[in-house]
Amino acid sequence: MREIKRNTLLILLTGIFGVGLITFLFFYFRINNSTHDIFYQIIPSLRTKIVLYSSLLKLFNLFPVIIIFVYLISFSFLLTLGKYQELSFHFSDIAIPSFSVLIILVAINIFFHFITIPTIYQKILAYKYSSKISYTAFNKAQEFRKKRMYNNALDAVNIIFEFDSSNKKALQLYDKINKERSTLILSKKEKPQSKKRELPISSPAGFFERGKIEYKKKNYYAALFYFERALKLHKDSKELKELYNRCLAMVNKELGSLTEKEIERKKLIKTKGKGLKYLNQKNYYRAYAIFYSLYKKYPELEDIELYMKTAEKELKKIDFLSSELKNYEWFPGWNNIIFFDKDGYLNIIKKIVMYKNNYYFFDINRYRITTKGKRVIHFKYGKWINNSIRLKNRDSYYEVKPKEMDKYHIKPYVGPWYLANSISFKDLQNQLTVYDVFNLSDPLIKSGFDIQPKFQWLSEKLGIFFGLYIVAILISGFCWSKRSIYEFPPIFKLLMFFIVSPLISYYLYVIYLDFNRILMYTYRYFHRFIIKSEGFNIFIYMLTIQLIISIISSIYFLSQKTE
Amino acid sequence: MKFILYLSKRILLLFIVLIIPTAIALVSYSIIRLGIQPYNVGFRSIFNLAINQLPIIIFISYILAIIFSIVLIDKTKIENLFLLHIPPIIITMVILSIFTAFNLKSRTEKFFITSNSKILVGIDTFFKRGVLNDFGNKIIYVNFHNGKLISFLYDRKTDYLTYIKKIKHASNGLLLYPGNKTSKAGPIKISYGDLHQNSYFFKGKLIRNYSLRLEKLAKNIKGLYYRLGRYDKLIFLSSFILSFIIFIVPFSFLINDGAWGTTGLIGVALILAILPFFYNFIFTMELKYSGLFSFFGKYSYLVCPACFFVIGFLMDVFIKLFHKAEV
Repeated sequence: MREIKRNTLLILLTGIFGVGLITFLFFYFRINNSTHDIFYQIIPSLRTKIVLYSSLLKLFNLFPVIIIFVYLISFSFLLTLGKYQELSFHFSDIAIPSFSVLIILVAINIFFHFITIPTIYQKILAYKYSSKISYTAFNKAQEFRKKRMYNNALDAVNIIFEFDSSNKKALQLYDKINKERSTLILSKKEKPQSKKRELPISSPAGFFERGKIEYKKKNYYAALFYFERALKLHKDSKELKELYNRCLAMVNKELGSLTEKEIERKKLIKTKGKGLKYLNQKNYYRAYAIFYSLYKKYPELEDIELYMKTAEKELKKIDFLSSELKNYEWFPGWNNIIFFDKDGYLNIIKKIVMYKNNYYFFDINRYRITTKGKRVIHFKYGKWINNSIRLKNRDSYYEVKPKEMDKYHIKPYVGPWYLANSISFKDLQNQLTVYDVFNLSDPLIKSGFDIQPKFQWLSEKLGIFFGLYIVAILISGFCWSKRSIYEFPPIFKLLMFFIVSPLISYYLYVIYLDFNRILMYTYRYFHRFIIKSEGFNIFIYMLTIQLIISIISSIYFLSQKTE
Repeated sequence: MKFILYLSKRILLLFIVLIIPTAIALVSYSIIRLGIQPYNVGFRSIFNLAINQLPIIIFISYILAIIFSIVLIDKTKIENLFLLHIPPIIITMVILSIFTAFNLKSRTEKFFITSNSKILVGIDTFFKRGVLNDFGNKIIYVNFHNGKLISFLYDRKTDYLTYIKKIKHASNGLLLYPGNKTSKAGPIKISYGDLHQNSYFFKGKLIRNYSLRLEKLAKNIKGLYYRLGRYDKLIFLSSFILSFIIFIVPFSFLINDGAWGTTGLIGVALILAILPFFYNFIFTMELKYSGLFSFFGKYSYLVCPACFFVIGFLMDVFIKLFHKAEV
């Protein structure tokens, strides 16, 4: 009898694997033939990924149908042949293994619907967006090239390399642009661009060494910057102090010879001291303002420039310049997004752009929703910084007073990815894993997005899981009771049966899902007239009904006999 | 003669019995498809709706009665296949004479319209409170604060936000009054069709697809019917019903006869499933190639009934020739 059990398992598992593979291949070729979007022209690998994931998505969604189909075929035909007709055979020999396998398959299906399918859905959306960006970047690069804006064109091509570093089309374009650019430089004898001073990578141990090098090179201002930084870390080092004093003396000497005005020199030292104080206090806005004004006045003082860049680096963590967003203005994005924030404003954003995990917002209108609604304020730019959208019109850093925090910051209930995808509530809903649904469904609904509350979502998923179990088990029991064990069915009839049974499996599953939705619909009446307690929510209601049906169908299945 | 009377009586009884469930199904359908929760609708509204839909209720129960009677009849009782056509024709005449006698003629104009103008329901019927209700490009927000309406409409296409002062019912839709006094434009009308919100029930794929098919069929027939003059309408309607009988009788008989191994209620389900698709197909073909059938002259609208007449007649002949032994 062990052999029969093993055979049963083999038939069921091979069947599911085989049918699954055929289904996957079918959808792969179908989707591959029907996906013809211009956005996929630049990076074909993204298209392949989208096709692959879309076919997987179809396969996982049809997973219950595949199982029902295999059970239908097995119990009406495959498990009625040969050894299954021996006298020693009992129904329990096939019922127990197939029942156990079904339970495992239901568990796998739960995993698919709770985690795999939403993750794949999210990936597909991300890939689609990436291919849109690459397509637009390619076109934009060509546009810049025609206008002879070669640096911009190269920047645009570099965007494509972010997604595919060995993209042939992009490489060709890159070479062309580079060639044209070099010929232009040669013909015009263009002046080489002034070398920009890069901010040193902050390794505390290196400050002293770098300072010494700069001192030897007679770059006293840069050396002063490094010594000052190093002094902050090693206050007791005599060698460092001595070098610092020497460097300071040299700087003062040079400054004195430059300005020849003692008062101005004092003023500069005082202002710099002030700037350093703010920098130490982590008041980067003021520190930046001071060093920026000093830099404008004394562009030759390298230490001032370096201090200014240090302050700016810190500022970029909490603020941004609108000029940064101008680079992304031509990017494709999500348009006309509307949502509520934590401060009760209604926000309408004309465009959201995502690039390198940064989110940029363009043309933001904020409304205060009252009975006499009116527009409160308009901002041109916004960037996602520290869990909020920092808003801005001017191209400068400025500190927001605590009183005005809600004016210059949008604090949404959810992250920017979900805001962007709220353009379609269906897409938003489909990419939520079970973890997201429990964490985010309330914030998403508070944002105004029309998505299913968590218990309603769970009830709908219950329909899928129980649908698979109940339909598979009922149809297996039914097929077993109607099977013919005395003769092999005629080939034509068998062929017809094989053609019709996938359709039967699919429609039975779909009908069960419809039935589940009707049951969900009846909950409102049940809640209104029978049990009014809030605790008896839709999930418990549906679970009770589904459990009752599944117990009845299990009894029906397990009570089948061998004749 | 005895057989004809037997079948006529059976069809008539079934027809009367089927009116009530058909009415319930149809009224519930037209309420739920608008996303209206049935408990929000009063009894009077439901009654009004049923009265408005009386012609279509009668029509559907009449079709069902014919199909049920012929599919479920004991085929050994059938003496002559052609006799099967007579009872449905008799019943049709009876129904049509009742129609004229009770002056229901004026309602025939509304034959294929599901009128909802008399349903009186609250705002919650169409909108979820406190959520952006997305109807394609239009987003409508409705909420109440201290009993006062807070509402706005955002048009994604034009990127324009309009505040709504009040919402009223109009025929087959809602009127949204803009709150902005300077706005010279009048109220914005949004039809019930645009406000279609997915209720749980009609998210159901199968039911939804089927109902869409039916709606398409009604649209097709309506399109043809309203183009006609007064007398042409009469000719079209009577020829259409006649062709339907000629077609449906052998078709139902074939199902009963075990041609595809289906009998009884499965046969009825099969006919109901196939019928809208089949009729839609013929109508689409007719609209596409109506120019080719010039021999009908100004009666070109008769192409569709003629098609069904021919198909029905061929089926009759087919049954007569090949199923003679069984008949």
